[in-house]
Amino acid sequence: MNVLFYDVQRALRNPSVIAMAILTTLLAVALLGLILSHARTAESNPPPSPSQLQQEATLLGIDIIGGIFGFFVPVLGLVMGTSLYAKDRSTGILDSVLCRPVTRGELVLSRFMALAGAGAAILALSLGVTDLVAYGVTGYFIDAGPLIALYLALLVEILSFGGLVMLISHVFSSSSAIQGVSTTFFVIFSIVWYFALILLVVVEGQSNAIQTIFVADYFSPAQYGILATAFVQHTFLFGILPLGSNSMGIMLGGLIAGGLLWTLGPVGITYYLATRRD
Amino acid sequence: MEPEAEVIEYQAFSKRYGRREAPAVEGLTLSVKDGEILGLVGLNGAGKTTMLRAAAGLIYPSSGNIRLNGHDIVREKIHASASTGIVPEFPNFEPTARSLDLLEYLGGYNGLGGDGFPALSQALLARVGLAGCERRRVGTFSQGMKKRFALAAALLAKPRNLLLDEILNGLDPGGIRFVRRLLLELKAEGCAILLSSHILSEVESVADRIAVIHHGRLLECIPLKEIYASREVRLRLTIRNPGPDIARYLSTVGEVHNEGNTFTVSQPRQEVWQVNHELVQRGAEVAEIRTETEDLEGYFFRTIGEEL
Repeated sequence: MNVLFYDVQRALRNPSVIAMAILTTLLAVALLGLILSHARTAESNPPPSPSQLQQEATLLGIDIIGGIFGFFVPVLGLVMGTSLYAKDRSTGILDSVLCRPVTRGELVLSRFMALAGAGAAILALSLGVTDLVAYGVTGYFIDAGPLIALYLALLVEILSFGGLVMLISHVFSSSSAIQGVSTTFFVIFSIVWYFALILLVVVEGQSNAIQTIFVADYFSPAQYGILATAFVQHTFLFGILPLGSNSMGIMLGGLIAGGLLWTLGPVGITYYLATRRD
Repeated sequence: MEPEAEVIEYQAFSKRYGRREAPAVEGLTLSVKDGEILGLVGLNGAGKTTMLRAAAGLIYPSSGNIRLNGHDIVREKIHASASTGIVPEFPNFEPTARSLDLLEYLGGYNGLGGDGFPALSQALLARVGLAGCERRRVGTFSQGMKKRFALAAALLAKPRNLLLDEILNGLDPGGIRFVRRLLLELKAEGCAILLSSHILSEVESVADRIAVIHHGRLLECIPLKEIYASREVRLRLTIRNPGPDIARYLSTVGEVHNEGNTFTVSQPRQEVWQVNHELVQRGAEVAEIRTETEDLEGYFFRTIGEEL
């Protein structure tokens, strides 16, 4: 059996991963179904054109998926990174593999690739189901372009948080310390970050704060879904705030560079530590 | 089979876990040959597990190096580990995995697999006494069964070197006898085995050489035959009517220690029957006379300079 395939399977069979994926998908599906149905009822006279329906499905779909998945997907990354690497390292299970003909660096990379495979598969499935609901309600799928952009941004979130927990396991040895520090990272990057930026809007005023928010969001891997949504939709905060055609300066190059840094940075440091320290 | 090439080699190996910590192992040079079992004995914290974990590539040496079949475990990890198996003191495996699946997964790192692999794994599980446990989850295994499973995992790629850390801990008497036989089989097959154990009588029953480790240093590495040749023999006598004449005679036989009617003569220079004959000639009423030979435990404590 292929070692990588086995690890991907192991991550996908993890009950916490399954539960998180189902919970996130159900939440997104329920909210999307509710809002789209409500929008259809409200717009019943005159009936919307097919292009309007498609646009509506895409706008609401991307905003809702970006918001809900963007919040929960970091937890999915943490859980998968823990089950694939950090837990094995802290409990000594990793030793049963490391004593075989494999280097520490290869082990880090193979587990990270398994994380990427499992993350990509579970995201594809969850977003696919959500897209099907959008189709069921409106008769139109969400536009592929924005959906793919969001998919990649959410994958960045999974890989960066998965990489972070792998990195934390090289700094702390006990399972409880790893869990505690990982949770702290999630709370800071997801919750504190979000409320700090809202506070900024209140203090600075909407127009002054938004650009600062987008610059700040590059420094939090949990905000990549929001950045990507703003970039492809030209709106912010579930479509409430229009951003104009330049999306307040969010650049594709910046998104790609930041995404690559957040994806490869934590696992790169993990690789460095793994190959130089016990 | 006669021991051949040196396949497990420690060269000036040292390991320090922290800058302020005393070294766990310091300047250790040692080797094990093909078809040889080297017993590693030492008190808790002597450095035995550190030695084995370093040879398995689980920790880095602080200085010196370890070569397995000529391959450095740090610089040529893949080649070095390909020929080496380890059974740790407390084996840890993915608890939800089924034993046959896990063997297949672990074998994947050795490039093993294919249609014949399940049959090979099943045979291996049967060899270590886990027949019928192919579909059981490893998390449900007892400590002894985990040890057996770890042994199966270690033997998966037919290693030329085996590192066994307290393999007998957690095994029942049947398990101990089974492992003893297996070790002798593997030795006959040409495997180099580094065996660490607290059960010195078991080490004595299988090892060709004994390495005594104390406070991270190698005090002695000596063939068991030489230990037997050099070990201390004592004569213990109980005499009902001890007197000065008898004590004087016994002091000519060897170093005497006397407690009441009991005399202990270390390294006697005469045979038992001669001593008995002389004592009877001197009118002694000898109630008991027997020789005591130092066992490995006695040798070990004498070597580390502690009282038994």
